[in-house]
Amino acid sequence: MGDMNNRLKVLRAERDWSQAELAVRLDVSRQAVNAIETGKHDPSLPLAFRIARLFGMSIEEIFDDQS
Amino acid sequence: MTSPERDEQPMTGAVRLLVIVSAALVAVFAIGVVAGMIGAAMNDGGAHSATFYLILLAAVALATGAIWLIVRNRAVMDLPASPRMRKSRLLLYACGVIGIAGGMAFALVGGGGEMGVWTLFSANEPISPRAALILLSVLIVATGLSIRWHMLLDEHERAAYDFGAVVSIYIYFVLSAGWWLLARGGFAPAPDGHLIFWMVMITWLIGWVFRRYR
Repeated sequence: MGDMNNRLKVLRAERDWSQAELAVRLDVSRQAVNAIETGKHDPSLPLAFRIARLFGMSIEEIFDDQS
Repeated sequence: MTSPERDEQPMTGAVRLLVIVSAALVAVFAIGVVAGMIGAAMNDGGAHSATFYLILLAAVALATGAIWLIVRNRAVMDLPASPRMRKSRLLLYACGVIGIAGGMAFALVGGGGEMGVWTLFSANEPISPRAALILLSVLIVATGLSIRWHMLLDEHERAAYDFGAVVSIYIYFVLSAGWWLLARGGFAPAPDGHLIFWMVMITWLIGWVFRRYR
């Protein structure tokens, strides 16, 4: 399991994107998006930056290491 | 809001994939039975018993059902929209197709002798030189595609692949050293390297799929 919480699912839902749509925007597989959302995979720093840029937020606003 | 239908759970994907693979095996078996029975009927020429037609009907129904299952679950095999992921998935499918084609070619040239394709799981049974060259070609092409596939992976897939690799290296270590010790102690026959190879490969595959779809 990953060690971080994140708001990815909420942010995605706010934009009415499916996991597949978000996966295309991040250039990863849909399974990767699901694994990050459910905390089964912690993204690398480069991917975390891509996610943050996509939502126009800082990494800390999306990811939280206080389990 | 994002609907649940649009966000299919990964485990559903794994189950669908398993259904497709199982259905494909059943379909190949059933079509083989139908082809064999039709071939036998054409050679015999005469009328056949009711049992013959019942078995033929059952095989046709089995093949139809298996194909229906494949068609119904085909969505799991759809290509991702992301160009890099699409290319990666295509390479994976290409490896599968080349593997199947190699297996069929192996069977067609009778490379396995009486044991057929099961020879591939034996360390001692000889195979024909032609069959060996076919499989060697498959190995080289599939390895090239696999390296390219590796370069296109996303990090989640790579983590799953690495997890399978770590589990399988442990299996290799325990199995090979343990078997060797048992053989040396007189508890077991000499280690079969080929059998260990297949067990390591299967463990790696299970670990990879488990981690990817859990």
